[in-house]
Parts: sequence; C-alpha cells; structure tokens
Amino acid sequence: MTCDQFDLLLDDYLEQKLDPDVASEAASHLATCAACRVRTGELRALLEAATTLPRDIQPPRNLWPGIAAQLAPRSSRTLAWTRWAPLAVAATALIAVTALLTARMTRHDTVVATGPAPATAHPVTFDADREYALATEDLERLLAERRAQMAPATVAVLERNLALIDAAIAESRTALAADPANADLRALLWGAHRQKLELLERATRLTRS
Amino acid sequence: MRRHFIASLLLACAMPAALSAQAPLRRGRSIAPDAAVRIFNLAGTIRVTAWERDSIDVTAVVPEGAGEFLFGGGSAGVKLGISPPPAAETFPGSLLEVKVPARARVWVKTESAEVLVSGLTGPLDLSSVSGRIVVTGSPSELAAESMDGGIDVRVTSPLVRLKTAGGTIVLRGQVEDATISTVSGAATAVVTGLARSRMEAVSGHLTFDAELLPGGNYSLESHSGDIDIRLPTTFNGAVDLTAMEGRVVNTLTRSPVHSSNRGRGETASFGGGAAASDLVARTFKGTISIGAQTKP
Repeated sequence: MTCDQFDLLLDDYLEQKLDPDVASEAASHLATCAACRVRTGELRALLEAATTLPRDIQPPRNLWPGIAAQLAPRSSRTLAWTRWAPLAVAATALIAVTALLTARMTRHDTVVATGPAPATAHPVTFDADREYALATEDLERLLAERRAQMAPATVAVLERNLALIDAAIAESRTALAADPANADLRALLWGAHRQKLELLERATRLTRS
Repeated sequence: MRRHFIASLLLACAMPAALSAQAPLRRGRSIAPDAAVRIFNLAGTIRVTAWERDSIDVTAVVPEGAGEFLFGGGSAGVKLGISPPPAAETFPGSLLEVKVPARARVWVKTESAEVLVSGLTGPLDLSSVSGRIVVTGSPSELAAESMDGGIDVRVTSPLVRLKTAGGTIVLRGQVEDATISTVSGAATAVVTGLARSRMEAVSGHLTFDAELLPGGNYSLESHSGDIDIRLPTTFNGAVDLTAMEGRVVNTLTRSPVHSSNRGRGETASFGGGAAASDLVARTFKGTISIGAQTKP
C-alpha cells in the first residue's frame, strides 16, 4: 500500500470501518511508514480532542473560512507532490490538522476564559502537547537517517534553529504550567511546535535522497 | 618553430575537451502553455524567465566535474537539471538558463544555487537549502522555502507561502493571502491588497506594513523576536496586541497600553467597527511596536 492509498483510507481506518483485509494492509503500511504514523497520530489526537469539546459553544468569530481559504489552494498541488515526497504530503496534512486543532481549542479557550480559571492544566492542552512531541520524534528519527547526506553548514543551521525552537517550547510550557488557562500562551506553544514540525519536515525533504 | 608547432598541436587537441565541458548546451522543445517544468540543480545558478512562446529553451553551462545535464519529457511536462557526479562531496556549480511559457507550472529544487524567477504567471514551487531565491512577476501561486537562504519576492499574486529557518524574507507587491514563516531570520511584508496573512518567527524580527481590508484577518507571532506593525492612520480594524513578558509600544493611536501578566507583560486593544478586520499580534518576550505607515 502506498502513502496515497493509505491517505484515502485514513478516516475509515481510524473509525474502524475498513474490511479486515484492508485494515490489516493499512496497519502493515503504518508499521513501516513514519510519515503516515505522524499524520495518523495527529488526526487521532484531533478526534479525541474534539470529543472533549462542549457542544453548546459559540465561536467568537467564524474562523473556518479563513482556514479553508488557506487549505483549498494547496490541495490542487498535493497530488503532484505525493509522487515525489509522501512525507511532504503527510506534513502538509499535519499542518492542516494542526490548524483545525488550534481553531477548535481557541473556541474552547473563549468559553473557559469566561468562567473560573481551572486549577490544573487544561487536559486537552497537554494531550496535544504530547501528540506534537510524538510527531516530532518520528520526524527527528527520519532526519537522523539522512543527516549524513547534509552539508555540515546546513546541519549547523538546522541545529541552531531547532535549539531556538526547543528553548521557546520550554519557556512556553513553563509559563503555561503556571497559567494553564492562558490562550495566548497556548497559541504561542502550538506555534512553536508547528514550526519545529515544519522545519524538521523541510530539512528531511530538502536533503538529497 | 617546430616547438611552436607541437605546442599548437597539443593545444588544439586539448581545446575541444575543455570546450565541450564548458560550452553552453542548448535543448528545447514545444510544450503546452501550462506545462509542468521541473528543474533541479544543486549548485550554481538557475534562472527561469517567461517568454511568449509555447516552447521551452534551456541553456546549460556545466563545468567539468559538475555532473551531467539531463533533459527529457513531453508536451505536458519537462524535467531537466544537472545530475551531480556520483558520490561527489563537492562539485562546481552549473548555470541553467530556462525560458518557459508564462503560464508554465514551475518547480525548482536546489541546495546552494541561486534561484532567479521572473515574469511567470503560473504556479511556482521553489525550494533551496542555502541558495537565495528571488522572484518577480505574477504567479498564480507561489511557494518558496529555504533552510538558510534569503527569499526576496516582489510579486502580484493571490497566494504566497514563504518559509525559511535562518534566512531573511522580504515580500513586496500585491498579495491577497500570505504566509511567512521564519525561525531566526527577519521577515518583512510590505504589501497591498492583503486580505489574510500569517507571519511567524521564533527569534526573528517581523515587520508588517499593509492596509487592513474589511473582513481581513492578520496574525503575527514571534516568541522572542520584535514585531513592528505599520498601518495607515485611518484603518477599520480590531487590533489586539499581547506581549506576555515583553513590551507594547503604540504610536498609532491614543489607546493606552495596559500592564498584564502580573506586571511582566503588556497588552493593547483598540479599533473595531462593522465589517472590521482582525489583527492579532503575540510575542512571549519581544516588543510589539505599532505605528503609522511612513508612506501611503
């Protein structure tokens, strides 16, 4: 099974609607493809996060048109990319899922902020934090395999910028632990996570292979 | 005399080999106006320009030891580039001069080559590791990314995506939807007609200079980098600025800046109105400055 084929089956795979033979084939592909694992993990996190959202919230403004407008133009190019770099598609999808996740959480933030601040960290925040970390680990493994193919100067640039992002993530996490209901902090944390994922994905894709 | 003759003969024998390695190679063929053109050249220069013909014309200058020039494809799409010597760690850069129909869909991949694209109206997808990317024209869609190279874009386009880690990004022109992302590099957007934009950095300095259109949506985010926002003095938008542990400097309006986060940070919110746009800027410990555009 190719990444393209798996991608088409992903929704049904997560909802366990596939025939057993196809599901088994999909699971086999997943076991050998880090990029698809990243995408699957993120989509699973999104679905789990969505189940925790209150049903009666009203968004402060309509966020979807802006997100959709950004996603739609990319989709026409996605198929051409898949033949060259399935990883790029997985990462693009990951970013789209991340945008959705952020939008959902932003809505939730608004509701939370009107009530008393929770005494403990927002559970959805830290589930998503963990999912981001797992996704990052997969990409870091892929990159480690290709690092020998990269020019030393490129490795230096990559490591310097990853260190900056890691420091930003650590600072945001610390601040968020002290102020778990702070939507701005959460947005900064997601932003740093997303930038790390994008940088790792870009570095993996740009290396000679 | 005889010595000169032998030397001339030796030179004459040597010349063709040297010339064949360095003389420009020409390839071309007719292609569809919107054909896909994929170009790869790891080092050197890639120059892509539009011309008013339904054909592609390529001139390649490939120094000795730089690899092999490849060209193939059909009417719907062409792939060309320089295949580097196998297992070579370093090799000289090659020049690729490529002329394509203006509507061609162009894809470029390089490591250190400078990428210069001009005059195209089709979608562009350009990626580089350390080479500079320069684009002018009116691409229907532009995606340019680099690890460390600068990206300099002056276009009219509905959709622009620019990403780098350590390089500098400059976007100018008329763009409807822009995404600009850097980690440590500075990014500047001086744009008209902007309806949506997202600019983000970790430590890089962001500069945003644009009108806010009705219903527009604009976000700027940097962890430790400063954010500089320039707007017209009359604008119809809701502006929301948050520096968690940094400063906010407002010279655009008389709206006050408030202390926040137990005195560690500052915020400012102002504007609004019917069909207003939204501009949100956040930083963890940088400074957000908002002021008037210096020119219309």
